Amino acid sequence: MNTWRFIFGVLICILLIGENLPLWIPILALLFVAWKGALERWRFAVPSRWFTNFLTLVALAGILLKYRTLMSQESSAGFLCLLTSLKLLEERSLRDQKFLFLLSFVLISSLLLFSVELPAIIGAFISFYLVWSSQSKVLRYRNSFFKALPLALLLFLFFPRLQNPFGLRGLNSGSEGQTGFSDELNPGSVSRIQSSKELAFRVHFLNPQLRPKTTDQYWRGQTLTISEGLRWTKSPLLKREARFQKITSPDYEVTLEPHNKRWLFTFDPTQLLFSESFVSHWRNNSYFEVAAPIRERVVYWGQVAQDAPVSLVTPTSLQTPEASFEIKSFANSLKERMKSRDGIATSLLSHFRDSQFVYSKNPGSGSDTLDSFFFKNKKGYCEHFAAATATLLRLAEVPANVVIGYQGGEYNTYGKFWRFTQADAHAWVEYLNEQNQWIRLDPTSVVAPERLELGGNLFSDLPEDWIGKNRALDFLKSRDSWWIRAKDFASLTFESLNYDIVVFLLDFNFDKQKDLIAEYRSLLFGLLGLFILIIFMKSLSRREPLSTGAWLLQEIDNKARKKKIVRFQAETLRQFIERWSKINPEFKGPLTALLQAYESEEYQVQPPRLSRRDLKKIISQLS
Amino acid sequence: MKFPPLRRFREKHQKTYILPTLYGVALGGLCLLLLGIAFASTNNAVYFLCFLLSSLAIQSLVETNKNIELLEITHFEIKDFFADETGAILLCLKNLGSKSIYDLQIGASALLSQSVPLMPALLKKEIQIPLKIKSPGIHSVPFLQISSEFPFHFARSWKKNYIDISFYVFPPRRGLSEFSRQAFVGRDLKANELDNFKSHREYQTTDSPQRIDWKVTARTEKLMVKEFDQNSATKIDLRWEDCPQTEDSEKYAQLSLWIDLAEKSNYEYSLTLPKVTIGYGHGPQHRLTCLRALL
Repeated sequence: MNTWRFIFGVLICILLIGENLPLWIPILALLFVAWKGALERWRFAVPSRWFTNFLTLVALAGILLKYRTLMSQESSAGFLCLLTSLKLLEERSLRDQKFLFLLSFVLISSLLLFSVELPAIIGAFISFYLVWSSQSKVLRYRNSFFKALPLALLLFLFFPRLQNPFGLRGLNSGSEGQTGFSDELNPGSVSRIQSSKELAFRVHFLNPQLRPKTTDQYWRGQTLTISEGLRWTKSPLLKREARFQKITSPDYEVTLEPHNKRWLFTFDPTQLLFSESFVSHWRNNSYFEVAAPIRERVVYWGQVAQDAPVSLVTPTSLQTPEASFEIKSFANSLKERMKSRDGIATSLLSHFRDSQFVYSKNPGSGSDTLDSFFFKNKKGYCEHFAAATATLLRLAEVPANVVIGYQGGEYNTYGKFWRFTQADAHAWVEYLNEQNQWIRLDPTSVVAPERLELGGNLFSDLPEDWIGKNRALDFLKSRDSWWIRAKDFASLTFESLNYDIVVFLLDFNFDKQKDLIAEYRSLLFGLLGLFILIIFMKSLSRREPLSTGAWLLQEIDNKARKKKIVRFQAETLRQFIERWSKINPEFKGPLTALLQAYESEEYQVQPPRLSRRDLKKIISQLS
Repeated sequence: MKFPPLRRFREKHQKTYILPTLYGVALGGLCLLLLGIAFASTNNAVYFLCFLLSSLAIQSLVETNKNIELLEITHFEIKDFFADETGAILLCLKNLGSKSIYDLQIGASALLSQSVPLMPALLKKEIQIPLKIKSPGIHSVPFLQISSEFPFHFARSWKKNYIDISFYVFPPRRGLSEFSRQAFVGRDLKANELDNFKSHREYQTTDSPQRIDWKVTARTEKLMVKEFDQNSATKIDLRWEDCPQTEDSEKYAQLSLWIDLAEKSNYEYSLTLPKVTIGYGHGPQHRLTCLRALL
C-alpha cells in the first residue's frame, strides 16, 4: 500500500466531515493521522494494539458522552473518523490494510450524507481516488479508476431508483442548531439570523413571464398572529387546507436547505405547491407546512396566485396586546383621521418616514418595548418596524399579522437562479383591506429602501450612516473594481455549477430515469445493439493468441506464398530460408534477420526483445 | 522390470477460473451496504459512490483474470533426486501478452509453491520450485497451478496445467563412504588409481576422503580428488549382503551411496539385490537403472 496516498485521502475526508462535527473529533483524528505520518517518515515503532484499542474505547466513550447514541449521523460519522485514524495508526499487515480500505469507503460515503455540495463531491472524489490508487503499485492499475467511470455512470443513470416505501430518511441528524427563524419574533431575533451568510435556499423561476426584481422578492415563511407589542408569536393550528398537488407548469423551483423547522418558504402569494420528498398543507390560511422538521435538503415547486389571497377576518388577526395610553391614543388618532384601512396603513408609513425613524443595524437595548421604540429611541431593525406597525394597525382595528421570511436575494446571472442567505431574513406586515384581501406592507421600504434594493447580503456591507440616504447607487459604484468583479465572477460561476449539481442530484429519480430513457430510446437501443454485435463478432473471431514465433512463421509463409514459393511439409525454416535466399538473393539480409529472430524466439530462454512492429518492418522489406 | 513412463508433459486446454476472495466478498457486502444507505437516505451521491465501487470491483476482476490468461508454461521438467535432499521443478514460463504480469503464485500445493513478482511482456522466464520429499519412490505431480490475486486481492484467478508427470526419489545417500572389501574383484584399488590417473577435480560430499589428493589440495586451497581413466576402470560388485547395516532402509541408503560413489569413481559396477541382479556397467543410464532398482 502506498501509505502517503492513503493518508492524504483520509485526511481530505476527515477535514471535510470535520466541518459538521464538534471540533475535538476532527482534531483528535488529524492528530492520529499526523502521528501515522511521523511513524512513516521517521520509522518510529508502531504503537501496540493494546494502546490503540484503549484509545478506541476512549473515543467511543467520548462520542457516547457527547451524543448519548451511536445511531445519529453525526455520532456515527465522528466515531468512523476516529476509528479510521486509529486503525491507520496501528496498521501493520495486509489484513489491516484491507480492513482500512473498506472502512475508508464507509467514511467517504458518510461525507456525502452530510453534503452533496460541489466541495464535498470534489473532496469525496479525490479522497476516493487517493484511497483506491494507494492499493496498487502499478500505474496501469491505479488508473483503472478512470476506466471504471463509464460503467459507474451507466449504472447511475439506469439503475432504477425505487421509492423508499418505509419513508426512512437515513439516520436522524442530531443537529439542533441550524440557523433560521424560530416560532416567534422578538426584538433582535431577525438581526441575529442576518449576521450569518449561510445559504437558506435557492430559487429558479421557470415561468418566463415571472421575473421579479430584488424589491419584489418576498418569500413567506411563517405568519405570526399573536401580538404582545414588539413580541409576536404564532397562533395554534386552526385550519388545514390541501394546496398540494402535482403542478404541470410550475412557476418556480426551490431548493431549500435543512432548517429544522416545519414550514416552507414560498413566493408571495403562492397558490399551489408540490414536492416528491414530502406532503405539505396550507396552514391557518397563511403559510405552507410539512409534517416533520426539514432536516435535509429538499426540492419543491410552486405556482403563484394571480391575485392577492382573499380571506375573512379571523379572531386572532384582531387580537391586541396590553398597550400604553400613548400608543392607544396614536392608534385612535390614525383611525379617526383616515377612513379606509389602506389610508391608515399609508399614514403609518408616512409617520415612520417623517418622524425621523432610523433603520439601524445596532439599535441597542433602547428599543426593546413598543413605547420606547415608537416614542423615544425611534431606532430599530426590520422586526421592530414590522412588529410595531402590525400592533398599531390592530389597535386601529385593522386586521394585521407579522410575516417572517426572506427578502432580497442575489441573482446568479450564469446559473439564472436566485440565492437567498440568512442575511436576507426579513419581517414585514400584511393587513386585510376592505375587500378582504391581504395586502403586504413593509415599513422597511420607507426607512431603509436600500435594504430592499440591494438585498440582505449587500446591505450588510453598507455603511451605517448611508442607510436611508438613497445612496444604494453610490454604494454599488464604490464596489465597481476589477477585483470585486473577478471575485463575483468566480463565486457566481462556482455557485451556478454547484446549484446545477445539487438540483440534479436531488431531483434525479425514477420518473427522471423514465424520461431519460424515453428521450434517448433510439440512441440507447442503437448503442446496446452495437455493443452486443461487437461482443458477438469478438466471440466469433476469438482464438488462442499466437506466440511471436508462430506468428512470424505464419507471416513468412504468407509472404513466400505471394512470391509463389512454398515451404515443403518437412522443410525446416532454416532450410526454407536458404532455398529462398538462393532464388531471391536480394532478400538474403532480411531473411537471415527473420530466421535469427525466429530461432531466438523459439529456442532461447530469454530472446532479444524484438517487437512485432520491428519484425513487420523487416517483413515489409521482402516486397 | 517395467518402469512407468519417464517424462510425459500433457497439456490440456487451459481454462482460466476466477472466484472472489473473502476480501472481495467483504467488498461486495460493502457495496450492498452503500446501496442500502443510498436507498434509505435517497442520496444520489452515495448511489454514485456505490456504483463506482462496484464497477471498480468488476474492473479489478477483469484485470485479475487478464493477469493469468496470457501466461503459458512452455517447458516443464523434474530431475530425479535423492530423498533428504532438495530437488527442483524446472519450468519455463512465457508471457504471451503485451503487458507485464505481476505477483504470480505457482505450485501444486501449499508446500510446493513459488511466487513470481514480475513477468515482463513477451518474455520467457525459467522458474525453479524447490521440492523436498523424504520418502523414496515414484512420485508424481498431477497438475501445476498458476494463480494470482493481483492487483487488488478482490478475486483469485487461476489455471491448472495437467502435467501428470512422474519422477523418482531415490533412497538417501547415507552410510559408509568406503566400499566393502568383498566388492572389489581382482586388482587393488590404490594400485589402479596410481597407474591410471587422469585429472583432478573438486571434492564432493559423496567422495571417499581417501581419494583426496592433499598435496594438490594444499596448493589450490580447495579439496581436490583424483580421477582415473575410464578404460582402466575397476570392476566392483555392490551387494545387498555386503551392507553392514541391519535395517532394510539403511541398506538401501548404503547402496544408493555406493552406486553414486562408483559412478563418480568411474568404476564398472554391478548391483545384486535379493530379487534383482544388474550386471556390470557404468554411465548415467546404468546409474539410473541401478538407482531405480532400489525402489
